[in-house]
Amino acid sequence: MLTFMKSSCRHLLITALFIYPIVLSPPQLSAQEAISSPRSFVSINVGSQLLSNTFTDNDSFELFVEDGRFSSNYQGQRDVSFDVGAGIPVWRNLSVGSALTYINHNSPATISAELPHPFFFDRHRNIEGTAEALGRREIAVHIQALWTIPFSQNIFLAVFAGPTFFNLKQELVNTVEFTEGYPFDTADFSGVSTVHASDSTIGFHAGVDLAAYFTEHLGLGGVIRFSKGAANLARTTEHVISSPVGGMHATGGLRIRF
Amino acid sequence: MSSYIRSATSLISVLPVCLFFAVDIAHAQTHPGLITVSLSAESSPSEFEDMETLLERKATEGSLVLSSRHGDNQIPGRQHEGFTQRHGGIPVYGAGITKQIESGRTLSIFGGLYTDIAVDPNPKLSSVDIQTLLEDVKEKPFTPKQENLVILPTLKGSYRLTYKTTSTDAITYFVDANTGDLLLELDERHHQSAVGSGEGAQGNLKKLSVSQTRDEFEARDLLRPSEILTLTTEGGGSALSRMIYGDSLPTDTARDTDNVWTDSAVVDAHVHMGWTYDYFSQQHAWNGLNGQGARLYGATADRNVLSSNAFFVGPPFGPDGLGMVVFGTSFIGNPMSTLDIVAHEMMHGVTEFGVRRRSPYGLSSYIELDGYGPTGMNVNGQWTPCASVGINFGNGQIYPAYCVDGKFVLASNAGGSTHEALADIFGTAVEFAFHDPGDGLLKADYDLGEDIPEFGTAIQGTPGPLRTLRNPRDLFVDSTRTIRYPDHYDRRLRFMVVECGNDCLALTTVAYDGEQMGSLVSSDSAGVHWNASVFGHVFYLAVEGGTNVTSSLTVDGAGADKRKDVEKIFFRAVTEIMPGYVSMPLVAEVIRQAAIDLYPNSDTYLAIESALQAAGF
Repeated sequence: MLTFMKSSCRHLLITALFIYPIVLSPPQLSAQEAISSPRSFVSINVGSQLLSNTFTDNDSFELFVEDGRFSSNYQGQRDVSFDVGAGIPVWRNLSVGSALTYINHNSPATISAELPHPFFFDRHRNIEGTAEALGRREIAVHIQALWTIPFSQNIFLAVFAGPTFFNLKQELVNTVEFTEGYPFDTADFSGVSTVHASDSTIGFHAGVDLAAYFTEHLGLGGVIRFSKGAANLARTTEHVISSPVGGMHATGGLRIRF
Repeated sequence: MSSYIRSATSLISVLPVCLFFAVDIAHAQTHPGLITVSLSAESSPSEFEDMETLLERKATEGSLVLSSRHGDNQIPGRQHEGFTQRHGGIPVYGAGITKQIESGRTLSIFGGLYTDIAVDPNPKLSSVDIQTLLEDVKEKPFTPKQENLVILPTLKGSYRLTYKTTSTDAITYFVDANTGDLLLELDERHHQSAVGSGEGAQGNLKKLSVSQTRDEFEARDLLRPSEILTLTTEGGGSALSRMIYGDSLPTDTARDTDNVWTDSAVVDAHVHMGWTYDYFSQQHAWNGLNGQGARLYGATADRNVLSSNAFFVGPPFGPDGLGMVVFGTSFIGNPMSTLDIVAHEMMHGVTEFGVRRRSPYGLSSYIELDGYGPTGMNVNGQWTPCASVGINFGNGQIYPAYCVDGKFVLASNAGGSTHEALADIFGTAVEFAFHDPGDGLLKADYDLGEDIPEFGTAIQGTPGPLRTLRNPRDLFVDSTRTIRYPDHYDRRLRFMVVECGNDCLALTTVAYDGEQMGSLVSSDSAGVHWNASVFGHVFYLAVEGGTNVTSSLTVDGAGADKRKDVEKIFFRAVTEIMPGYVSMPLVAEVIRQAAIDLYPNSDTYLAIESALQAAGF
């Protein structure tokens, strides 16, 4: 129930922030006013995550009346990220706005496990392997305050920060599969079974946005955004894994001002 | 008869042998017709040629028949052939030859053949007659399990046509097929004999490989290539007899409702059978007891059913007719299923099947005359000449000692003691495979039965092992504390025989160890467990080195890191080369040949050679 309410609120907020600048921004501004005061804008960017998010899941399980252990080391992957945002001036060089970052990629996890021996206590067999292409989708909604520094009539640097609402959906290794045979002194990794888990959480972000306009309304820009949060992924009802979300992203793309 | 030994009055119940004889004093030391064959890598080509010629001639005559041929589990390309001696188409018990061949070249020949057999192969009595006679003699219902005609070489040098019949209590009887005389009884159960008291403490947590049924678990190991079942004899002695006879019921299998097993006897037996199976499989590529992966049965029994004992009983007994191992309970309640005991009993099975690959009767446990003792002995504190010594078997009669040239004629059982020696050696080897070396409970050492120290208390007066391979002379063989375990061939225990009338010779419990005569509480089937310490000590010296107390010869052992190589030599000796008939010197030659086969010109071979020499071979 809590998750539903958070999700609904976020949806309304995103809708309001994207529509509001387009409808309410003044149709015409003088050149002097453009240098001293930022205008409403929309940015559409494509880029990459500079630092990947890695995390590890350590868990134990019972096999042959003894505890075994396995570790899944999720390798974050630098992949394409999409970032759209908008802002409206509210006071002098201060604007408020919102941005949405979307990342969807598959990344591997290296697996290591210690398997109990069927005949002996304290004689675990070690296996290692890789689970390829585990799906990860991360959506971040950034609520931001921007302070715009105009370098010229058409070149602006905006510094921004604010809270971020993250939603993470991650494919997790649930069990390790292996093959073994008499005398059971070794075992071979054969695969994994997975489950999907998701979580929403709040973090923060900060960054800079450099924009250069070539016409009255259109320009190009680049954003470097660092965001940070921690999502709790429930692999089972009893086992929750903490995964970092956000990270350092560099994107670039179209700027539209009004 | 001026003197007799009163302590022997209770021996009638353990007297297993009564042999008729045709007196041949000149050859009393060994069977006059026996030719022992022992050609190894150290023999000359001409010796091989002569023997091959002899064997071919006997094969042409039909007196030597190829009975088996098998490959070599350890050295690819080699073949082993077993030949059974026959007379008039009837097998000669214990006689046969084994050959090791590579690329058509014979590498070794071992065995024993009997000559001058003059026996009519046609019996006057039928097998039904024999069954009736046995029931009369044994005064109990008698159901033959297996029967066939064999020529039995007797102690005194003659041959008899006999029915070899094994009963449901695992006793094999040789009955004269013409006269109906009971010539020989053999207990087919290979016992881990034990008497003693003390305190046993195990308490270590083990895993059991079991199987799950709908609502409970049963001690049926399905993870290993051979299925291993542990049965329980909750039905008492009759249940054990039924199992041995071959009728096991599903309810005989030990079971537990929550898979947390609380019967420590079942836990130890089931787990240790699995570990021992692993040892044979992993160290020697030997699958199960028979090497062919047959299902393996063990049974636990409380002390009311089997007190202070454990045994292996070979085919045709056991639920599948392929033998089984049985573990009793010590007289103070400790399960007789410690790792060395379980491995000991299972090695009996491996020995049985290993030798049967070449010899149909396996390693013959056979009592033979074995030389002479002194001219007299102390009886009741008075030196008494052989001719004046007699034994009272408790039936009111006194039987005179059998003397030749004024000396006691002695008997021993080389096949039986070799069986036990191999069992002790591999009981030890399995301990080293699964326990850390050291002293104390659950440690690997060269002692047997040390984890049930009440045996040591009963025999030696202090808690400790039943036997030891390290220095056998440290321990007395039984509670009379008169004779110590032998560490040398010259100290092997040989037993006085007495004349029991009508050409009968009987084994007594009076033993001679090369120095003194002593009256023991039993004959131990002619000292099979006691003389086992000779080759057990050879194994110890070959691995660890040391000085043989009797010969004072020092051996440079191969070292603990080569223990597995030494184990392979002994394992090869029994599973690939050993014939059904053995003497102790012949066993030594077989071990030498196995060492040459596996590790020629190596330190390990030299250690084996040196250890054998130190023990008098």
